[in-house]
Amino acid sequence: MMRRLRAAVLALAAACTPAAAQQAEDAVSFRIPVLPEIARHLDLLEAPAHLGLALENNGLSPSLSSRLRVLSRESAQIRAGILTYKERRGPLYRYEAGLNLSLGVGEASFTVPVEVDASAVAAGAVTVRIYPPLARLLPQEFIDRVDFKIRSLANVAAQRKMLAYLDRLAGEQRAKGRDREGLLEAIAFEAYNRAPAAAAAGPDAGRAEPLSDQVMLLLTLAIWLAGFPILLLVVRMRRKGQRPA
Amino acid sequence: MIDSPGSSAASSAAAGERVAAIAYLGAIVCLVLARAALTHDLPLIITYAPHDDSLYVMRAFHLLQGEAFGPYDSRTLAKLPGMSFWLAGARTLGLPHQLGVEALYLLAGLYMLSGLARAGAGRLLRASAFALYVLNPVTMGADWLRVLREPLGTGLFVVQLAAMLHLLAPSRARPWPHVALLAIGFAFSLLLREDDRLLWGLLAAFALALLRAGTAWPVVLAALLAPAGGALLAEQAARAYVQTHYGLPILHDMSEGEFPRMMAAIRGIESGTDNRLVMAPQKTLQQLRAEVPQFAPVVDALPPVGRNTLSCRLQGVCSEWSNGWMPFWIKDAAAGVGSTPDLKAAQSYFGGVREGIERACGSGALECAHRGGGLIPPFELRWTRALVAALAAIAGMALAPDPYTVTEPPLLYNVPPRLGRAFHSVTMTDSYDSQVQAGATGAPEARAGANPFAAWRAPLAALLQPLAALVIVAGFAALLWRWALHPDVPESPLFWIAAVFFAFALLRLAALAHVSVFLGPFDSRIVFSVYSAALLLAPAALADAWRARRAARAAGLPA
Repeated sequence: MMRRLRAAVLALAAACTPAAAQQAEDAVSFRIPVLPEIARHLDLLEAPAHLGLALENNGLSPSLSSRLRVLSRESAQIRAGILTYKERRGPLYRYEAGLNLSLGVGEASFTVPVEVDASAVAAGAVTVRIYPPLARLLPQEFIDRVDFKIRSLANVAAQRKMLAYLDRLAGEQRAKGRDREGLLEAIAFEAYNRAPAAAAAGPDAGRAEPLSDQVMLLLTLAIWLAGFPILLLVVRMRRKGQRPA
Repeated sequence: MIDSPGSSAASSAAAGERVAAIAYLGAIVCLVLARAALTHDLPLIITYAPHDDSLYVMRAFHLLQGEAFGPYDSRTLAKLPGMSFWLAGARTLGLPHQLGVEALYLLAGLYMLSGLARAGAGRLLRASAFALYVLNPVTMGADWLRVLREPLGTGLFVVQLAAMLHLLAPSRARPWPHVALLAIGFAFSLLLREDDRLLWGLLAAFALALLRAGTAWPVVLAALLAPAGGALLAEQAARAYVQTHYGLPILHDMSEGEFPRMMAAIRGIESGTDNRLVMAPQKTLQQLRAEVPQFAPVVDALPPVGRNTLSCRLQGVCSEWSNGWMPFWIKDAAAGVGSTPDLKAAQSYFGGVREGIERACGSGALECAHRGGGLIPPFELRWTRALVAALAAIAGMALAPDPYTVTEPPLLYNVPPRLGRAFHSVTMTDSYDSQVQAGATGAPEARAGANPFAAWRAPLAALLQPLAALVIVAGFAALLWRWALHPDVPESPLFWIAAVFFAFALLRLAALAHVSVFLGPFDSRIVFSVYSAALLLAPAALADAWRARRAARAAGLPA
């Protein structure tokens, strides 16, 4: 509840500040240690929806409590939060992080600029900058906690897992003569296939099946469950009777 | 003095025996050291799981403070109390939980080795079986490192089987220590897991084996009465404890008392939804809302169904909540609306709802049918296909349980700091740092003391899993083969213990498959105990079959 409240306060404050305030000193920065090999897949930053799906495909869901909703290639939503890719300038990837708040009589949206600076990826670091209004007034404890959360999500084991996954998919697509588009498509298809029950929205699992449809199965079972032990018993009885000559 | 040829051969045989004994001991020590090298960096994994890890730890936390299991809520008695007793007991003795579980597992394995030796198993066989057991992939996985019942239950299960083997093997040594260990392991296991009541089946199979093996009557009686009596006494003591603190002698309120009866009454209401995975359909709940007014607030407090629910994502039940969740939601909702402030009130409330349902059924307001009186309904033939699928799944799991091998221990735990501190305090783990967890000192880059052998765990597990599966299948087949083809070769203690074990394993797997038809699939940790014991006893079955074949040949019987 407190986290939601803080996010709402953050977003509300964002609405009161002009976008021109995107100076580095107004940013809240998080430097994340990354594997330099991640550089091979940096272009996925232009498709945050697919990046989210790739994380989910590897059991690294961005949210444990809510399902990721894909709005477009550039835009993904978790609960009321929406992240949208805007543009790339060299190693800088720019996004808009939005929050849709339901106010009972309507909805209000607030956005905050976010950028990912991948210029130091070869040196093993990526910097995420968020430009909330009144950034300097944010308590350090809150910033530390966000940093802590980001680091715990982007730990080395998770990065290795993602790297191996993306390398494998990219390799498969290259072998088919396809590149980035093929990779994005493969991620999306795997995400769909991963949860067939949920995606298909068909009838629930566990529904009744008529007994008449299972007659052959019952017969087979009866043969095995009764026949095999009886066979063993018969063999045993016959062997028991055999004595050395 | 010149040795005669006979005495020279004898002394050379004695020297060979000494070398073999030393090599065997060396192999056992090396295996234990190899395990320590492979796993010493694996920390306790602290998990927020309010019906599992967190529940056991918080109950133990309260036990240590003399507050029984803590204030009553919908989860206090959702699991049997054994795990919390173990945690509190180990903490009182100053024994870290993880070390205790690990020590029990290793000592149980060594105890089994001594039993195998007493039963005449060769050193090579014992060392091979112990290698599989010590390097058991599941013991290097995430579920082994969590505060769960299965790792502890595995050690206890192996202790019981080892004690049985000692009692089956003829010896001049006194049987009472083994009887005592069997009784302790049996009695405690029955307080640990709800499905461990199946161990009564193990005891029955053991009784048959003792009688067929011609064991002396006093030993037979002691070996059966001590565990049975111990279990009944321990259960009564635990019930008395719960009654003293919570007012009623109920150890597990999901399967005892009024709650399962109420759920059975709900299941009996005709709603048009015929789904084995759903005992409380939405339509039924809406009917109940109107017909049993005291249940309406609970219905209103239940979480909505949908495609984003775990029920949908994990079990494919999207328009309802499946049985793996709904009973817990109902219990939680009843507590949430204040209907179950204590155990007595909870029993009274659930009993009242059940009576309300029965009245509505009796008056014709609800259309009802009897579908059993417990949480799990009686089996119907039309669920056969589901049962076969569940059996196949659980048999596959028993042959190769997913170990979730931990390659890199987690640096941080995603738990509230208060809960983390309770884990730290109860389990005495040294892998929890309150300051780091709270984010006060920044996230650590890496855990101190990296293990150079950590990278070996996953390849080793990948190598051992198929090998172990092959050994288990071969062991079971060898047991049947030996029984059918060599009836005239006297059964050895190895045969009896393998027969007792495999009979119990089949019973357990069948029972679990039956339950999973209604509750959905289990995690693979449910088979840890059977799998681990199979690693020791399947080789024993193979050795016994080989010996029987040789004995048959020597006696001129058909091989």
